[in-house]
Amino acid sequence: MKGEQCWKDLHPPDTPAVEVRELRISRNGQPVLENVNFSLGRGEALAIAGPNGAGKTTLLAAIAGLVRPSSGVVRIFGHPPGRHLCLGYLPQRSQAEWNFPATVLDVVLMGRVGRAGLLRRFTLEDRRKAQEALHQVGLESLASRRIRELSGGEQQRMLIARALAQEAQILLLDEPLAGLDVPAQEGLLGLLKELAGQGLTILVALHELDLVARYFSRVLLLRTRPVALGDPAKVLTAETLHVAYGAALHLLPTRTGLLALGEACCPKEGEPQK
Amino acid sequence: MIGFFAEPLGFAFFVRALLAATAASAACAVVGTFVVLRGLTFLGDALAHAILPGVAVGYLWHRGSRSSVFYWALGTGVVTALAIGAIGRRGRLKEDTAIGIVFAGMFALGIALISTARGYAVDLVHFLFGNVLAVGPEDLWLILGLCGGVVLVVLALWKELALATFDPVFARTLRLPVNALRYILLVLAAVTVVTALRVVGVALVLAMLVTPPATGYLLAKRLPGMVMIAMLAGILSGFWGLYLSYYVGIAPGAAVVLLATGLFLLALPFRR
Repeated sequence: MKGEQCWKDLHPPDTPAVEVRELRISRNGQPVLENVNFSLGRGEALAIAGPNGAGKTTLLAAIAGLVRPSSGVVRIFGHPPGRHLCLGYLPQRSQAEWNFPATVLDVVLMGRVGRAGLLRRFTLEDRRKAQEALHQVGLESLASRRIRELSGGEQQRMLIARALAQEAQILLLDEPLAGLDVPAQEGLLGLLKELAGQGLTILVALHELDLVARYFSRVLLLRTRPVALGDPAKVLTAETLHVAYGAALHLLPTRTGLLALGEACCPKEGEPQK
Repeated sequence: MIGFFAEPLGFAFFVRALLAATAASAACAVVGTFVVLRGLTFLGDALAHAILPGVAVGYLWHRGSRSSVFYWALGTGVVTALAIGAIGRRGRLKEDTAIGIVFAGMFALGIALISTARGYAVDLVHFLFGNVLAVGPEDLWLILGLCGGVVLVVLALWKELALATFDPVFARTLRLPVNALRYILLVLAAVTVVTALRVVGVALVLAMLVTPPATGYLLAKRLPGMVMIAMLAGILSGFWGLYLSYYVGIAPGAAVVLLATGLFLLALPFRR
């Protein structure tokens, strides 16, 4: 990973990569998110779980600097998020235009746009970085594939490569596992773990509680307010899950432990949704 | 064969028309590529219709002087583009509905204004269907200059426009001025639409903006290829459209659009 500089600001040593204090965001007078506090150091990974409408997407957007907090503070390496290029934000997949005529390499090169500057063409260095990023996510063989021909898992890997080409030091992923089959989900989480090992700070919103427990050492369980924060093995209990999911979750005690059957993807009628 | 090409070139008005049609087609193809990829097709049509009241005011004001009408069209086009940008950003009504209401209304206003002039029918036909054969030397330089300018701006902002079109949310996280880019594209579309008005008129402008890029979309794998093919299709239809019009005796605007449509149909079986 290249130096410490992220566009305009030098990162002071010892500042957390991501710091959120007393974050509150409301929409039309209703709080979407409140009392959120946590901080993440370099190379740490945090899973953000909770039912639909719990504020996971809003939290990630606020950290990316796309949504303004109503009150509270978001700091990226000690600075407001609006001044950073080192945030790689992967919104939910449906938002990009997948029929756009571009190859995988074209899209990964887009990560270099912020660095190349206005009116400049991509340099050899830009292309080298893009190739390197493709190699890191294991997509180098698909570099010249048209993007609409990719599988869901390959699309996610390509977007991660784009963030790496951008030289992002913080990755924000909004439900990257949605629509992937289990091997693709596990492959992606494995890749994220590897990237965290290389010093990237990673925040992932996801629904799959079993995978949270297996791949993450920290989880933030949200339902507008934080319900629990910490080691999944300790904080994902019958009690906290009930608070977060309410009637949408069924808990079964089994021989190997607690089994949580969620309907997080499709809340029932009459279930409170914000 | 040489006679076939040379014969119409003996007329200065034909040469000017040929150059104007080719340049406008090329510029439309380049800007149209981004218009099509952003799903703003409907907007191109709205823009053309909304320009009519401006044209009408200029027409009445200057008693039919053609080149002053051109500046009025340009001014109205740019103002309309900015207005569309503003509507799209804050409107509560769905964007296409809002556009439909406002611009059908503007179009009616334009026709109403023009119809107050005596003997308006001929001129109205020119606005609706173009009058490329009447492009004067001064008009021609203006058209060439505007088309060249538009293409240069697109080339300069190429990677930013591409990124903001493919993934606007990501573009915002790279701190690109996404809204400014949107307005720039709208203004570019307005300028190209105004130049194309001279060639094909209000009724057919949409085809110039959309059909060649659609052909490019069918055949190309990447954005640069799409633009190249769109430009080629645009230039071919602009150029040959004028010859077709000369030899077959049909309206030049219609001939250009028919050729563009023909090229699109030819490309259909080869889509990738």
